[in-house]
Formats: sequence, structure tokens, C-alpha cells
Amino acid sequence: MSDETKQEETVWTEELLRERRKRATIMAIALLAFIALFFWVTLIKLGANVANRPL
Amino acid sequence: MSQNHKETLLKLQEPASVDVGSTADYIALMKPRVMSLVVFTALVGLVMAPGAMHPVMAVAAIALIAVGAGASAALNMWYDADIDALMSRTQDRPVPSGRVTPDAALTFGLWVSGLSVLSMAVMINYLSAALLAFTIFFYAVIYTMFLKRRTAQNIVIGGAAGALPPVIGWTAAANSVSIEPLIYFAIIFFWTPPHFWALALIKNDDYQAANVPMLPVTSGVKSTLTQIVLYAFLLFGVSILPYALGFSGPFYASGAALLGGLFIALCVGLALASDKNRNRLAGMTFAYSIFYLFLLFVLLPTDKVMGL
Repeated sequence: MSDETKQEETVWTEELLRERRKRATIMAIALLAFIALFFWVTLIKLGANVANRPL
Repeated sequence: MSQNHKETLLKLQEPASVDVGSTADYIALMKPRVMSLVVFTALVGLVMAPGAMHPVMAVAAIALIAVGAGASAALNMWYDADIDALMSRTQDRPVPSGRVTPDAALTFGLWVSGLSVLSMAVMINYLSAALLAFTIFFYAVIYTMFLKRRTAQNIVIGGAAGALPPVIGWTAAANSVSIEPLIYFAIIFFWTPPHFWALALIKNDDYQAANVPMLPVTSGVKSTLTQIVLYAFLLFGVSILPYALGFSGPFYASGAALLGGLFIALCVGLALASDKNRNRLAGMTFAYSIFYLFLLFVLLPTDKVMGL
């Protein structure tokens, strides 16, 4: 049985769909937090060099 | 055969085909209780390291160590789903219970492992990234795939993976390795066998059913108890090393001696216990071992602060 057929056979109840939406939302928040952390760490590592770069 | 066991085996014959795992299932996949000890010991390694680290960088380093450890746990759960389904302690984990598909667990574990190691390399330093990659590889491949099902020394050698977080915490701050983090490594390394064998004594039937060669299964209860006592003494000696080598003070030494003495007393008590009382004492030894490691790693930075 292919994965597509199995996927079609799964009954996506309202509860499962709600859980999937919740999971996607939390994943989005985690990704945003990760991006923010990456940005912040980059600023710290660059430090004063951001202001002192040659123009 | 219990009703639960039958149901789990039925589920395994028809494994989950579509990933319906909730957020809680994915968190469970990362073994959050193990992760909390990883975070704590890594934090102590980071705090004990020389030099100052920017607080945001410190948070990033600890978060990445935690996420890397969680990813290796997910890979462990993916590979071990077949034996997890046979043991009462693990049969409700996300993969054997069918809530997360094996493919989803594997994909999650691999992506998060890669992301944590690469981020560590870019944000912190290459040495910490290399150590994190080695830890994940050691736990997911060397321990889970090779040692766990082959040898009774599985958790002795595999314990190296759990012992590395304070070393990674240290290298995140210092970008080098010295004797201190290696002693922290040794403490956790020698702590792991008596900690796990106490649990293995309680769950002996489970491990036998799943054919996992834990020491009580392969060598019997008596031999396991002897090994537990031997390791408790070894651990005591290793735990005093920070004082003996001069990088911790008498406050740490007296605390470590007291905690270690209690641990030895519990292990000897367990070894001498009657068959009737053995499981109860093994449970106490297991619980105390967690408390012991936590307090020992609280003593290290406390002693450092007091000595300043």
C-alpha cells in the first residue's frame, strides 16, 4: 500500500486537524525565536565592528 | 501476556502510517527529563569555565546543547521502537504507541541534529560543534545501534555520551579543553552504571522480554549488585578529584564526601538486601543517584563562588 493511499485513508477528525494547526503554530514560534537568537548572536559577535566598517 | 502488551503488539503489526503526533509527542521524543539533566550539567560546565561569556551567547550555547541532546534522543526512539514496544516503561513512547511514525521521528532527529550542530559552529565555536556532533553520533549510533543490543557493557561505554554535556558547556565558554571538564566527564561517566543498573534491577523482566543484554539479564542479580558497589566506590574517588587536584575547595570536598558516602551506604544496603526488599531499595538508589548528581553539580559552582 503506498503512502498516498494510507494518507487518503486517514480520517482527519476535527481534533486531529486542531492538533496539527497547534503543532504548526508552535513550530512557527520556535523558528521565529531561533531566527531572533541567530540575529542577536550575530550582532554580539560583530560588536563595534558594525559601526567601524569601511564605507 | 497483559492486555497492554497485546494491544502494543497489534499496533506494531500495523504501524502508524500517517504522522498524527501532537506537540507533546514531539517533546516526549526528545526525552525532556534526560534533557533537563543535560542542560543543568552543561550549564555548570559553562559557569565553571574561565573567562566571561555574553549571557545571550550562553543561553544560545545551552539551548543548542539541549536541542542536540533532544535530537539524539529522537533518533534513539526511532531505532529502538521495536524493543520499546515490549517494555512497560517505554511502550507508551510516541513511536511504539503509533502516534508518531518512524519516518517522522527519523526525519525530525536528523534535521534537528544537523541544525543544532551547524548553529553551534556558527554561533559559538567549532570545538563545541564538533563535540556536540560526536555526542549525538555516539548516543544514536555507537550506543543505540551497536552497544545496547550486543553487550552488557552497553551503558558503561554508552555513558560517555551523557557525560559530555559539561565538557561542551566548558568549551562553549573557553574554546579549549582542560583537566577540569574531563573530571566532570569522569564523574558522570562513573555515575551512569550504578544509576542505570539500579533501574535495570527493577525492570529486569522488561529487559529480558525485550532481549536487551543489561547486566542483570546477562550476569544475574548478584554480579550486578557487586558491580554497583564497585562503581559507587570508584565514583566516590572520582568525585573527590576536583579537591585533590586543587580546583575546588573544602566546601565542595566535604559535600561530595557526604553525598558519596550516602550513595555507597545505599548501594551496600541494596547489595545486602533480601529478595523481598531489593526492588524497593533499588528504587531508592535510583532516585538518590539523580539527587546525588544534581547536588554534586550544585556544589561545584557554589564552592567556586565561595572561594572568590
